[in-house]
Amino acid sequence: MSEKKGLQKNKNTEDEEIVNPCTKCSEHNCLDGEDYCEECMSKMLNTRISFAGWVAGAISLVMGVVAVALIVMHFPCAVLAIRAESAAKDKRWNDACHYYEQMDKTIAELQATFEWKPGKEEPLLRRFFLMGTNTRAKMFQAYAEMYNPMTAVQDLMVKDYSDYDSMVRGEEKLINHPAVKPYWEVYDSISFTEGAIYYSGEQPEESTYEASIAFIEKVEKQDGINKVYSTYQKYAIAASYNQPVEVRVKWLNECDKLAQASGNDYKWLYYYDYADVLNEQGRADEALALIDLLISENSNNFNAYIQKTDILLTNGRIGEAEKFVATLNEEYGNYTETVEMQLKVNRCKGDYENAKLIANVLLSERTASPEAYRQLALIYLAEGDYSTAFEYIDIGCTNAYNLNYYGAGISEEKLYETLYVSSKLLEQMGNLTDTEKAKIGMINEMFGEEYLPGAEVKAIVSGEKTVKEILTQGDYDLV
Amino acid sequence: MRILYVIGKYITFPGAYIRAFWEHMTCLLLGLPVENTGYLRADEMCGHIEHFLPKKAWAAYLSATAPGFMGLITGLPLVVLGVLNLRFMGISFADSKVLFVLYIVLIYIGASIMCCLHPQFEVAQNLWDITLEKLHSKDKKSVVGGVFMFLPALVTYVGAVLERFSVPVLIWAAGLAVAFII
Repeated sequence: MSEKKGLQKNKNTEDEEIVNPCTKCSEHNCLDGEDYCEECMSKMLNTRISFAGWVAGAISLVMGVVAVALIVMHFPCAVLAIRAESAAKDKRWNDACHYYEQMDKTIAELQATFEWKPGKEEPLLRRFFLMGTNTRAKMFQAYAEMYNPMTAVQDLMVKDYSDYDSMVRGEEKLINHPAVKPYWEVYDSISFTEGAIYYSGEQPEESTYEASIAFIEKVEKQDGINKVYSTYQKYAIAASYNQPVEVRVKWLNECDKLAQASGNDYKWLYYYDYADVLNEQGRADEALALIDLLISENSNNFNAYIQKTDILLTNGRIGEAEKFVATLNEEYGNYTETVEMQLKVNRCKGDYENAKLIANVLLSERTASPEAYRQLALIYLAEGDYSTAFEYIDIGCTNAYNLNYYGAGISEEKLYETLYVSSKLLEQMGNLTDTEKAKIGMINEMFGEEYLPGAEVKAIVSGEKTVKEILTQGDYDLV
Repeated sequence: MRILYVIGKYITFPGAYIRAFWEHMTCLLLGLPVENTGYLRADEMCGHIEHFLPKKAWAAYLSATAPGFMGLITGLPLVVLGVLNLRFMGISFADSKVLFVLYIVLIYIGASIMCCLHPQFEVAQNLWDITLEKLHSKDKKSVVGGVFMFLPALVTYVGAVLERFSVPVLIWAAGLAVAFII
């Protein structure tokens, strides 16, 4: 239906007297009830769209269609970026890293859709799928906050570059991005300091605590040395030379002062150790305050969650630990770390049946968990089944080695001590199988005479205390 | 008011021009006489074409909403694509000058189209009057038609009023600023 049909036609002739002139031409009478004559009305009904109009309309339509197609392809990446940014805003850095990794992967898949081989011209569409420097900077920041600047830089290097220099050349835009620069400066200064201390070829002649400290103090006089890191190295030396806790605390106190004065964030470097030594000094509440600060800056910090649980357990505050793990369970119930913490709390409570149940469920789903094997070993040690305990800790250590797990949540020391105590108790019990004999022989060789286990491990091995006594009374750090 | 309107339309001239094209096209399809085909004029008809007001409800509805609908489906994807890439994919000038400029241009064209979604006030008023007439009619079919037309007519009417003061330009400028700041 057209409005044309609704218009009445009224024939005008040139001889006609103009009574009601057309508003437009004034040469003819208007049609009935209209302001225009028939001729003008006909012209108005048949106006033409200009060429420019057609071009503009066609271009807008084509652009709209192409944009919709590109949006469909970009949309999954954008959703991941939004989720990552939201996680970063809430300081859930692990989640942020996860979403950025997913985004990176999705972009790579999109680029792979438009296959390009070196030497050929890059397909035009491929160029539309890029993770820009701004988003890459946010991704880097998420890594640096989740782990530390060192790991973030190394991770970047491992992904795309063969060495540091080629990375610096290739990542100039990223390195100079305001969000990345502070982390990169920390990385550079620590790498330089590390090189000056460990790779300068001027190591101290004497291998003593005093000589090593004196050497670092000499190195500290050079320009460009990161004092926070060099002071932390003094603590590390004190720890490796088994210096008393007061000495270790002294270095970490100094480290803390320097870190606060530096304006950069170095909590990732020394806070875990700081909390450990404070706990060792019996200052559990101060240690917990440090860990809480780490958690407030990264609510996905499972290392901090684990350490907090351990501090509570070693201080016999099992109820608090249980409550803390229960709150974690609400949010992170399906994370391996949370289940491992639940297992640990149940074991410390002496609820071995429940602990075994949790461990078995965990191992049936995620078979490699070295911590679950270690906890099972501790349970069987407490129950006097040394052979099964040894079997479990042996698997745990193998898995930890295979997973390159050391330093990523489970303490190497704790694994070794559990292995040591299990092998010693099994050896004392006698009646060993050939395999056990062979393995224990290797373990004895590995630890050697100079191995210095913790006082409580010594007490178990010497028979002064029973395993059950130590594991359930909360005064032993083999949590 | 007229000055504000004309300034707004000139700032968003790609959108105003494309809007006028879709209006012209709609008039031709609906058989509405077009009195003036100037797309960008320095008066209150800038970004519109001067045409007869349709008397039938469906024609009034289409003449008021169809050009805006075409603007919406062609303009919104351009803004979304630009924002996705600059804001979330993080494309910067340093990454690719061509892509960066392209996305800026797409956002500008898309936003300008989105600023010109509504018809001239008289067209919106015509649709609103017809809708009210239908709602007050004794014929049940007309009332049902009025109910269906009510929301689009209201949106169109409010939009046309706001567009007289170039408010959409301010809203879009603020919206884009917020999208890039947050």
